Amino acid sequence: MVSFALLTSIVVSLVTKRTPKEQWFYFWKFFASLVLIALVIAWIMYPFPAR
Amino acid sequence: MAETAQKTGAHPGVAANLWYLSVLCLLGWMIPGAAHMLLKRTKRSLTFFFCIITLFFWGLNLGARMWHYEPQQPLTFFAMVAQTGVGVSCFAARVIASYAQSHPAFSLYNFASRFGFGEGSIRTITFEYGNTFTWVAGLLNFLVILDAYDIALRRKE
Repeated sequence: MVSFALLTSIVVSLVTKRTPKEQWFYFWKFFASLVLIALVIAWIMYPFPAR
Repeated sequence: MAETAQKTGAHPGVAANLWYLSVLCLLGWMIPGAAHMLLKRTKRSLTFFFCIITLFFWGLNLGARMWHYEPQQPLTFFAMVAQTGVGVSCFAARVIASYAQSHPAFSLYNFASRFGFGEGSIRTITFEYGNTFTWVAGLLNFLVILDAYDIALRRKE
């Protein structure tokens, strides 16, 4: 999950932002969002296991 | 090309530009990052290439399926389009899968077996992860092509 977030964030930050500084900050923001949202959703689903 | 543009009354610069943009987008689709390489954005090109190709083949390694359109399941169209966004890598993976299935001595047989020779390893836990990796790789390449298009039109630096 973290590696997926890393690779996706690199591409998205390079495509959407212009300056290296903006790309850097957006990369961390996007990466953190992906990881944190995934963890939050995982905990929300925790009480409802598949089996 | 300029003669054709003059006959149609169009400005020759526009026709040439259209050809250039078309070739750029086509190359960018076939090889992720190639369009940026043509635009002399080498670091960006290599980064896109590495990230997108890694995502795609990692997805296959996790057991993703090679999607094709099935009329009984119309939504497979979108999965197919998303995977095809990676370009040549997608077709290469299909060729590897079909060849390896009938040639166990092939060096990439083990790799092809990990994604069920194109059918996907639905029983593995990572099947859905793999699918997501391959779809996102293709969709990201579409974004990269649009980025190259904007750079070529001088809308971006």
